[in-house]
Amino acid sequence: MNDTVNNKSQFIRLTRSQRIQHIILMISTTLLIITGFMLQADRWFISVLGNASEAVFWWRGFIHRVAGVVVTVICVYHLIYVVVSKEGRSWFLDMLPRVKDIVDAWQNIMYMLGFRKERPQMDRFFYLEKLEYWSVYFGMFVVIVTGTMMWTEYLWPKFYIDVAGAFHLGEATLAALAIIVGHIFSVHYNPHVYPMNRAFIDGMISEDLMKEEHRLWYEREMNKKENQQNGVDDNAK
Amino acid sequence: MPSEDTKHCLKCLAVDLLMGLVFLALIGFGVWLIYIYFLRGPIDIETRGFVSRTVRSEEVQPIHVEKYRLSHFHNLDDVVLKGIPSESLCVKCHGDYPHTKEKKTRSFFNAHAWFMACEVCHIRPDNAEQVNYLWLEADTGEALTTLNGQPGVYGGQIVPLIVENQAQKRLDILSVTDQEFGEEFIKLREHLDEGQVKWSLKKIHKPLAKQAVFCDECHTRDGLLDFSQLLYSSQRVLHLQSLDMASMVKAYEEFHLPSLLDAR
Repeated sequence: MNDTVNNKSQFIRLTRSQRIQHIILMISTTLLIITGFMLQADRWFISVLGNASEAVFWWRGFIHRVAGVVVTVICVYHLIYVVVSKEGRSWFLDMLPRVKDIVDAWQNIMYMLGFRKERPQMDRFFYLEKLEYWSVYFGMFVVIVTGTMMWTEYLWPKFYIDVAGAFHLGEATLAALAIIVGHIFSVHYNPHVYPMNRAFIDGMISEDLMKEEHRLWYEREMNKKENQQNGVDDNAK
Repeated sequence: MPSEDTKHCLKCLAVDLLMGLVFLALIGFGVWLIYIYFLRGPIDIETRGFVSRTVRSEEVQPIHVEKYRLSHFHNLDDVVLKGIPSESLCVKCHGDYPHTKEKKTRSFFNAHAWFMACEVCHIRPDNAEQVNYLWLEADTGEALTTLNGQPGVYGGQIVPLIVENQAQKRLDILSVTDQEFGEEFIKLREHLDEGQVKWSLKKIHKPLAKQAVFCDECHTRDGLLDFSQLLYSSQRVLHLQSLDMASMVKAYEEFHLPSLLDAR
């Protein structure tokens, strides 16, 4: 069961701005996946929908474009957010890849294979979370550029559009599989958070999960808290 | 009344059931993604924008068109027939796919023969003549008012109509005497001598232009065909006008394909 329910100590994992960004990204990406991959099963949809298929496919194209614009806007907003805001800068710096991530990955694999007794101690974001985050940068760049090209197909030679289409579908397939295999597992089917990691709703993470998955961050936060308390106590004296 | 423990167990069971179903759905979707991307074969990217994808009534659908669209063209062995009835004298002798000589360009031309009357390219209107190009319904000959269906398969074909005395006359239908002459020639050809065949062919082909209309004469702004009049959307008009065909044909009037494709 979800550890966040059973533990009294809670830590802030996601701020309100980050949760709103995540929700917008989640909804628009889901819409993009559904309306995009409908094209790969168009014959089945047409056979099922009959006369309604014309209207449904018109709306499919419309929704796909609207969701595409929304995802572009939220990506641009996020870029501004990580530059301008303090919490954004902190997020970005903590997300930067480090040599320790490679060591963590190796040690974690060894732990999961039973060759290590303890999990490596990881920081605020561990290597898989960083991989996911930076994959979104790469993926969004590819799909936004190629999607814009396909939207303005009359401006481009057919060869460019064919290449753009291949990249768009390829990246969309990669992203969809990554979301299903990686993200959905880690935030839903991972035994530590099953059936759902509620951080994207309330922004909180339990103490147990902090210790398990973000030990270094937990210790840093506790030290910070202790220092603050000592500072208060000293001041009080 | 069920106890709190029972309620809790039932709730957990419901959650597990839901999560299990979602898991199966996600795995199914993932397997399908892998199938469409890696196992289904060559991927045709279709970027049709807002173009309708509804298929029109079956009777005007080209025969084998679905198979044609699904197969990679290198693997296509079936003959694809237009399935659109035609009274054209040209088709009676030359068939649905008349372009055979130029191996490197014939597919382009035959692709256009799919939805255009021969006379669109093979009759050049004089400057003084006003010719309208319209989509005419295959069975009734009525002008289409909207384009419904897959691109190029709208249940009709593009036909040139010459405007004479404020009336429009189809250029793809010969006058009664010419039609009768042509049909008579087809019947008697085997019994005619070389001179008579030559004379008859010259007479039949007299209205045709020596140099057919080429790609870049239509796929350009202010070209021979008014794509708006042909009911295409404004986005599609821009696309058709700016197809790289025009620049490609201008830059490469000779198509240089790798020599390994040439017959030895």
